[in-house]
Amino acid sequence: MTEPPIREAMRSAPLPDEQAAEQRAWQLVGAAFEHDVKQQRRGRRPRRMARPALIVGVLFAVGAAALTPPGEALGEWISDAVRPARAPSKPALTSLPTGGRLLVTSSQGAWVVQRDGSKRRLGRYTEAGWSPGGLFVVATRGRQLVALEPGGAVRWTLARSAPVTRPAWSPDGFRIAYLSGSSLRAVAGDGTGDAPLTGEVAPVTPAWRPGAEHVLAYVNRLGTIVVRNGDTGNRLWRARTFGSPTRLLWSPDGAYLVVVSREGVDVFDGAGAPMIDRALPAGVQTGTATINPVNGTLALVRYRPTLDRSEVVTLPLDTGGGPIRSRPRRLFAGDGRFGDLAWSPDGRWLLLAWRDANQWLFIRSARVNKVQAISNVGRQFDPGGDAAAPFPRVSGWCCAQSPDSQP
Amino acid sequence: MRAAQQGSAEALETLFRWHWPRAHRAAYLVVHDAVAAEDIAQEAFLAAVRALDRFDRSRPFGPWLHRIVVNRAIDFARARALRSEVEALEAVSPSASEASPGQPYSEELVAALARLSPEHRAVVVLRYLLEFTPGEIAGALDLPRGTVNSRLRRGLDTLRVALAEEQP
Repeated sequence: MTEPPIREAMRSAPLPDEQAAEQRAWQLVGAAFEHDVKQQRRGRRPRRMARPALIVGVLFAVGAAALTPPGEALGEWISDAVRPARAPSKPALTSLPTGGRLLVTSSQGAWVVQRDGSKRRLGRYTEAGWSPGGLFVVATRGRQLVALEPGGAVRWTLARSAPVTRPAWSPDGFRIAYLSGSSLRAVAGDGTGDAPLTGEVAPVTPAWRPGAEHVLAYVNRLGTIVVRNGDTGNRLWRARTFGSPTRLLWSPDGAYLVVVSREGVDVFDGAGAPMIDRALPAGVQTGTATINPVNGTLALVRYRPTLDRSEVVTLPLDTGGGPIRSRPRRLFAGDGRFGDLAWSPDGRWLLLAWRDANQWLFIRSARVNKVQAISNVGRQFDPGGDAAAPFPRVSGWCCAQSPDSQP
Repeated sequence: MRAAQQGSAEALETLFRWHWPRAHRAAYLVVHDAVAAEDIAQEAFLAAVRALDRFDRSRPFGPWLHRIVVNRAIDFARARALRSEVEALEAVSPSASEASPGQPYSEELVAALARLSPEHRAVVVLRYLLEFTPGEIAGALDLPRGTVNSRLRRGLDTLRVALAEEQP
């Protein structure tokens, strides 16, 4: 075989799904281009590649507000946000405002916080997550995946050759997905049947779709959102966002997949179609996000580096299947950076971990206008520590009542 | 290019339609993974859109794009090669029904290319699909010219042997 036949063979070698791939790529590239052009016509040179028309532009209209040092007050409530009862912050967590238990990870390991404020340390685990019914906790430690009871008793462990991270328990309790190195794997809830699902995934916690089937969303190394059947391995759909996804969240009914990245939030329906079409505000970064387990409302942290201010906004996602047109509602704003968010199991309270203020804020729904602040949070999960206590992570708030059928 | 830089979506689509097939094909022939190839080519085009207003029109667009594609494809193929544990799950090979009946070497070529390392595949693809000169390949991959020539020679030899074995 000489060079010309090699050239011909390369040009005619079969490519799977060639035409459809071109169409998908053009949709994405064309949308990106149009968005970019629109931004330039608005007189704003894009700071970087602006995201295409799939992005929630949660407007960050932080006004000319008087700035208060982090932790000095409960923060600033702006515009249509709640006017809270300004209760002074408590120096310690003595109770949760509603039912359920918190799962927290700190430099000393994983902790379970009961409703009465009592805390039990489970052990030196770096990450942790609840089982769907709250009867168990899945945690990671180095190259180990561990399932344990909330009291700390270990039920089973699984060791892998590469570091184990980002565990996620399926809503029916029968599967746990996790990363081992950059491979995505799944194991049964009883610790059996561990198997690889795919390789080359990004360090983002995979998300199981609520429902009877074991459908799993994850992010591959190239930043593509991939949704697969976790049992058969069949790929159901895939989608791209311009940002690098950091978090995947399914709505409680499995109708929407929310993809959070630093540049914004994308929402896809269950078949992978984009549901939101808004422009991205410049100079704003997206932080963490969480979905209300009762009504599906998305709560989202946004951060404006130039002002060093953060805010929490909420956005209803329940539209009955149509496009999401509602505007985000500003709920709370404050100086510095916010950390994690967690909805209470009854969906009535939002826990905001205010990292730079070393506070937790329990925010009740807007109509009730109530906030409970807990100060000195870092030290409470690092008792006896010498240096400044690192701020703990909130890994979940679960569960008001443990269903009999779920672990 | 000028029209696309001035905001013409039609011009950008023309540019895309012209360059996508070879960019996509090049990525696929290096990574041998349909999903990854699509992602890599998409990423390259998004990078192109991102840099469109700064692009120097005196330079050709195609080689610039192909350089991005092939380098990203090499990175991906190297990373995946380190994780053979799950490689089989992700690799997508064209089925027999997708072969081109009029081009008897096509399927065999894809299989033969897969026997080469990603670095050798990239050199062969740049030379014989994208029509880069050895000097241009050296620049695109930041390699000495001699290394390019030796990889080309070795790659071509491997392909010849593999394809000869396939001939009836």
